[in-house]
Amino acid sequence: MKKVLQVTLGILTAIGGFVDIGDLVANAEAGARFRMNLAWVVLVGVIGIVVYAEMAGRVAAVSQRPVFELVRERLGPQAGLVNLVASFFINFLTLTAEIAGVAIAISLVASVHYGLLLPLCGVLVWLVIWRMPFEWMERVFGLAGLALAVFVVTVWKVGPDWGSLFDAAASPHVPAGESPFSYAYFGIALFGAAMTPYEVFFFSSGAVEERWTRRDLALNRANVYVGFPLGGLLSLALMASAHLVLAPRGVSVDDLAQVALPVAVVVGKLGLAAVLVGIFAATFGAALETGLSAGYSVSQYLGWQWGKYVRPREASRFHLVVVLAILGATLFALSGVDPVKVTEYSIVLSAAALPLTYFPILVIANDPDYMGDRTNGRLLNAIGFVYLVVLVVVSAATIPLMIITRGGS
Amino acid sequence: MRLRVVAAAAVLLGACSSHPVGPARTFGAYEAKAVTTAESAVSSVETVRLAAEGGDDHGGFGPYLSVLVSDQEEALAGAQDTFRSIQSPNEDGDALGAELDEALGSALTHVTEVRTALRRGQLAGLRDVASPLVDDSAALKRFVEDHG
Amino acid sequence: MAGRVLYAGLQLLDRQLVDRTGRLCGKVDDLELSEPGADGNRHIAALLSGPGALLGRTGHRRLGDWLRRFVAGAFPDGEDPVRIPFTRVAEIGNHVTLDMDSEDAASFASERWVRDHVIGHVPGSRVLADQ
Repeated sequence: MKKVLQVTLGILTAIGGFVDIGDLVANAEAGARFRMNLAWVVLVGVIGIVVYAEMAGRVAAVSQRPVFELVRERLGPQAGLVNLVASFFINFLTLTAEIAGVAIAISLVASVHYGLLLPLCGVLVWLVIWRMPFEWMERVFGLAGLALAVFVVTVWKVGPDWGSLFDAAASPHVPAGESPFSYAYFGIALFGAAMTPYEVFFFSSGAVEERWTRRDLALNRANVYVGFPLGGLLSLALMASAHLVLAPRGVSVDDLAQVALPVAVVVGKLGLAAVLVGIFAATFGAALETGLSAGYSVSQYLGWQWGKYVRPREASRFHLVVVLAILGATLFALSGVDPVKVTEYSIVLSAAALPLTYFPILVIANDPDYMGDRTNGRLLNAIGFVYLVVLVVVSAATIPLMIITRGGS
Repeated sequence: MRLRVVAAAAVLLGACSSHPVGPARTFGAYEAKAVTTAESAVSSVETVRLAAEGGDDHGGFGPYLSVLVSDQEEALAGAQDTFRSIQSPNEDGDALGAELDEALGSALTHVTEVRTALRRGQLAGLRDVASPLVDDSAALKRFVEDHG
Repeated sequence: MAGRVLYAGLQLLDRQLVDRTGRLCGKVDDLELSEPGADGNRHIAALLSGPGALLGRTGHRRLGDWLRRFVAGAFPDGEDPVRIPFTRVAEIGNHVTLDMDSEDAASFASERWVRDHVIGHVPGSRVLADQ
């Protein structure tokens, strides 16, 4: 019974924790602008992250080392440094966007300008990292993120013609009035949002934080194979809500408040409360994860003691990096950058850096030195390799498309 | 690799800062910018309409709608300002610009009325306050169709 | 440890150093090789750890020397690069376990400084949050 509870909790946490501000913005924008024609990208992205997150979790459970720690060993300090710098920079952008997202979510309830709330949010994020036990952190914000299921309720309540909805998703095309370049650019953004690099780095560090062992491998699989796809379903519900409510009116999504609009209009006050709680939980949870990831990546490259599993004094440099990252991100958000723009750039640049993130995972998951008898099977390797090729293509196309479409305008 | 990083940084920096717009050289270019402005105005107007409908139907959340509508009001005003800062290339452009500016101005006035009603906490009857926006939206959509 | 043949580049360099209590204490940034012995082979005399060492190994010798001097000046009670005699290596697996405490092994000076001057002053730094 206890095992069932544990598995259920894990899955629910994975579902609720799947969505962050990148997914919120990207799926809503895509649904409003491209209808369901980019739904297939979410599917492809979810499969990708499922495959690689399972690998990353397995690496951590079997070798007791998180993936990023091993990048330098397996690929050399130069490659590791490139990885570190790129990951840290993108992570920083993401952290900024998430903290801004938290502030915006609160501002939509409190009627205070979100800029005034930014310092408070930065402090709150740090405080939770400092004092809340790791598993608690994940559970609370993961489960609260389930409130985003209200988007599923929204779609159901609109009562669309399900047949035509699936048809629209199953036969994608570039809608009239949009250039194929914009279509591709948004596709890449969605893909980057679904396969966000920090997720796997955090996931594998988290596995070490929670002291996973081989016995937890089955749990890892359940979380990933069941939780993540259901999380992907939430993303699709977001896209469908925008497609059904916003697109027919010609509304394009430029701020976070518009993301919640379909729910407010269709479900009403209760739905709006749920979606705001969900947005708060999703962005706050992701802020915690990206904040910690800043510390993880630097510490794991340089070999410093890291983690919440030791007393803060014993991982001082790690905690200092986390504090500085949160401080810097808060200041950057305060400088008046458009949070939606920062989000867009963070997910697009994530897409550009995807091979850097995922190639080491595939290599390490095949290394018997670390994995013992738990190296990848042939089928998994085949899928992983195919995805790697896709990631390289996506990565190569990102910057040119960004320039051609002038940032997706 | 380094070239890509530099290019990315350049695009990132360029786009994060707001770009002051200069003159449009041809009527075609001017028209295109007008259409883009009109499209974004449609988005703002329709957002406010949806918000008003939601608020009226469900007794929606005051603070949320307030912020939503205020942000759209700002976006609309910003779009109008940005378009005004673009120099029209010729007389035809002038006429086009005047037409759009009038549509934008009307929309802005009516959005402000909705925002004011929300600030006063008047959720019931919001649909009526927002009803002029139907015509504004139609006018802007017609503009996009004619010139897009 | 004597007599075991290793692919030093693969199995030692850039590996995580772990002290005898399980604490992480840096990476193997560089190796100090002994003079050629009677059989003409060099042996590993010591493991080197610390930013100066890593920079030196990757070809940025001057930057490495500058960093070493900077660290020595900023944290006078430290030692960089930290030199761990190979005899103190307890085990070589997917990480390198030492039979000493991290206090003695790591380039701990900066960690100690941050702990004493920043993190140590924040309430709750002595408490394990994961209870």
